[in-house]
Amino acid sequence: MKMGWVLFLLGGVAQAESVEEILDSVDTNLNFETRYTRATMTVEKPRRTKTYTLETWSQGDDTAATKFHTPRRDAGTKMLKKGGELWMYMPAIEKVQKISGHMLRQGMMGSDLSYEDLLEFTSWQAAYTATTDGEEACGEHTCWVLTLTAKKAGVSYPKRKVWVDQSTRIPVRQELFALSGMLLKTWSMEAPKQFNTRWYPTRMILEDKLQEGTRTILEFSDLSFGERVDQSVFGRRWLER
Amino acid sequence: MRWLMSLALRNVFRNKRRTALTTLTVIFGTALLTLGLSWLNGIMGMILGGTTQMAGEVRVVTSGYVLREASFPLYENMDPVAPVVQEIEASSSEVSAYPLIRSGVTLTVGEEIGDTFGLLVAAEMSYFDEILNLEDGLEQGHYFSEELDKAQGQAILGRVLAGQLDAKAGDDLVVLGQTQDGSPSPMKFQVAGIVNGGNSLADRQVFVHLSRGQWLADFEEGATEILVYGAGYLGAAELAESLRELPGLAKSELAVQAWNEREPYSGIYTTVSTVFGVLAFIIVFVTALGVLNTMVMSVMERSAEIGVLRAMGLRKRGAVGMFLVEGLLIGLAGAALGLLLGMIPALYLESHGVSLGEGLTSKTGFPLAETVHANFTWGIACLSGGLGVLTALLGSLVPALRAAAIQPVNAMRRRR
Repeated sequence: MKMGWVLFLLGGVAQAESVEEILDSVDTNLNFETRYTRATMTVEKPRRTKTYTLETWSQGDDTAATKFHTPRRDAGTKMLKKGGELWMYMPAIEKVQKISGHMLRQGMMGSDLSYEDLLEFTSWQAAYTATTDGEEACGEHTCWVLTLTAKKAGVSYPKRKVWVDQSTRIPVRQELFALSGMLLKTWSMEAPKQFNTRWYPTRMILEDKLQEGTRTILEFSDLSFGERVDQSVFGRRWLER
Repeated sequence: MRWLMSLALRNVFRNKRRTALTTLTVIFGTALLTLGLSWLNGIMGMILGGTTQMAGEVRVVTSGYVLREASFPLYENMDPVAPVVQEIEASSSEVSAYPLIRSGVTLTVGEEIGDTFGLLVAAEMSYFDEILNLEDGLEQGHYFSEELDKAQGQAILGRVLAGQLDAKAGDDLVVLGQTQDGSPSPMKFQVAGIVNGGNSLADRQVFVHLSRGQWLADFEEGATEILVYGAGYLGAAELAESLRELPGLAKSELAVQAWNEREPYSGIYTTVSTVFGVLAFIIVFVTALGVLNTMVMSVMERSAEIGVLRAMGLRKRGAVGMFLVEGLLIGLAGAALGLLLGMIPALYLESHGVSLGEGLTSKTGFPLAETVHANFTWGIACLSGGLGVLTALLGSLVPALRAAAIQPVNAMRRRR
C-alpha cells in the first residue's frame, strides 16, 4: 500500500514535469563526456543476417572512434569521427577514405544505423523544440509521448516522435521522420541498466523503413561512462596503426 | 500483251525529258532508300550487337533483380551459380552461359581515394575472350595474365574510365565497392591494360576476374546475372522460351529474359524500327508523288490520243495497263540505277564509317561506337529496289485510272 502511494506521488511529480525537464533528463542519460562500448551489431536482411563486433570510444557529442573486430573480412576496419567529418580505414587496401556530407546518413556497414546514429550524440534540448502528446503505457511502464521538431535545418531527423519511459528517462521508442513527414526509421532502446545515476539502454533495435525486411540490433556487452579515454584513438595516426 | 508493251515502250521514249524526270525521281528515291536503310541497319546492328554482347542475348537473374536492376542489387544473387550455368549449357551444344557480377564502384589511382565512379564487371575469362573480345581492343598494356593467380589481381580499364582516372597500364588501382550487405568492400588491383571496349558503355567499365567480384560482393560462389548466348540476337526470344522450360529454371524464382524483353533495349529496338519505317515511308511517299506528278502530266497531254485509242476499241483495262507498264518500265530502270547510285555511298560508309565523336557517344546510355558504319545487305537491295518499282507503279496508278475514265467523244471534242 505504501509502495502504491509512492508511485502515485512520483506519478504526480512526473505529470508536473515540463517538456524541457523531460528532454533534459533524457539528455543526461544519453549524452556523456566519455563513453566506451563493446558491442555486437546484428544486421538482419531478407536473405541473410550478418553479425559484427565492434568497440567504440566516444568523447563529447561529436568525437568518436570505432574499430571492427569481426567478421574476418571487416576486422581491422576503423572509423574516426571528428565534427562533421568521418574517416574510415580499410585494412584490405591500407587506405583511409573520408566520408562526409550525405554519406554520413547512409547505413553503416550496410546496417540500419547511420554513421551519425552511432557516432554522433545530439542534445535534444538544444536541437529540438518539443511538444507533449500525453502519456501511453509502454510495456510495464508509462511513457511520455513527445513530438520533437528540429530548431535548425541540417539535423539528421527533422522530426521525432518519442516515447520516454517515465521511470528510466530513456526514449524506449522513437519514430524518426524526414522533413517531408516520411517515416525514415524506428529506433527502440531496450534492456536499460543503471550506471551510477545514469540509465542507459544495452540493446537498441533500428529499422530503416525505406528498406523492406531489414533491422539492426545493437547489443552492448561492455559499457562504461566517464572513464579517461586514451586520446590517441582520436588521431588520424590511430586509424592506420 | 505485246502491243501493250510496245505502246508503253513507245510512250517512254516519246517525251524523253519527262521520262528522264520520272526516272530521276525513282533513281533518287531508290538511292536514298538504299543509303538510308543501310545506314539505319548499321546503327541498329551496332546498338543491338553491342547490347547483346554486354547484356546477353538472354539473361537469367532473380526476379527481385529485375525490379531493382538500376542499382545493381548485389543481394539479389544466385549463390551458388554453377548449377544453373551447367543446366543451361547442358540444354544445347549451341548455347553458352557466363556468370557475371556488375556493381557500381569508386575507383582511385594514387594515394587519395577519389570520387570517380565506374561500373565493375566481374566475369570468367571466357566471357572477356569469347564475347567481349577485350584483347582485340587493347590500346595500352597487356591482357589478363594466363596464370590465374596473377589474373585475379589484374584489372582492365575501359579507355574513357582510364582517361577520367588518368590511369595507365601498371598503375595500382583501388576499387571501393559494397558487399551484398551494403558494407564497404575495398580491393586493390593492378591495371593490366586499357581497352577500347568498342562502345560507349564498355569504355566506362572496369573488367576483373569473377572470383574478385565474388569477394567484393561477399558471395561464396555466386553471381548476379547469367548471360546466355545462342545463335544470335534475332533468335533470343526462342532461346529464352526454351530456357524457361528447363526444370531447374522453371522451378526457381529466376527470371529468364530475352534482350528485347528488357528495358531500355526493347524501347531502343522499337524506336529504331519505327525510324526505319518512317524513313522508308517518307522516301516512298515523296518518290511516288514525283512519279504521280509526271505521269499525270503525261495523261493530260495524251488525253486526246487515249480518246482515239478508246474509240478504236481500247478497253479501260488496256488504258490502265498501258500506263502501269510505262510506270513499271520507268520503275525498273530507275530502281536499278538508283540501287547502283545508293550502293556506292552505302558501301563506302560500311568500310569507312562516320565518326560521331567521343563527346556525343560518351553521353549515351546505350552501347554506341564512336565510329558508326553502314551495313548494306542484299536484303536491303531487294527492299529498296522493290520499293522503287512499287513507288513508280503507285505513282502511275492514279493517272492510269484517270486515263481509263476518259470518254472518247469528250477527248476528241477537246482536241478540236
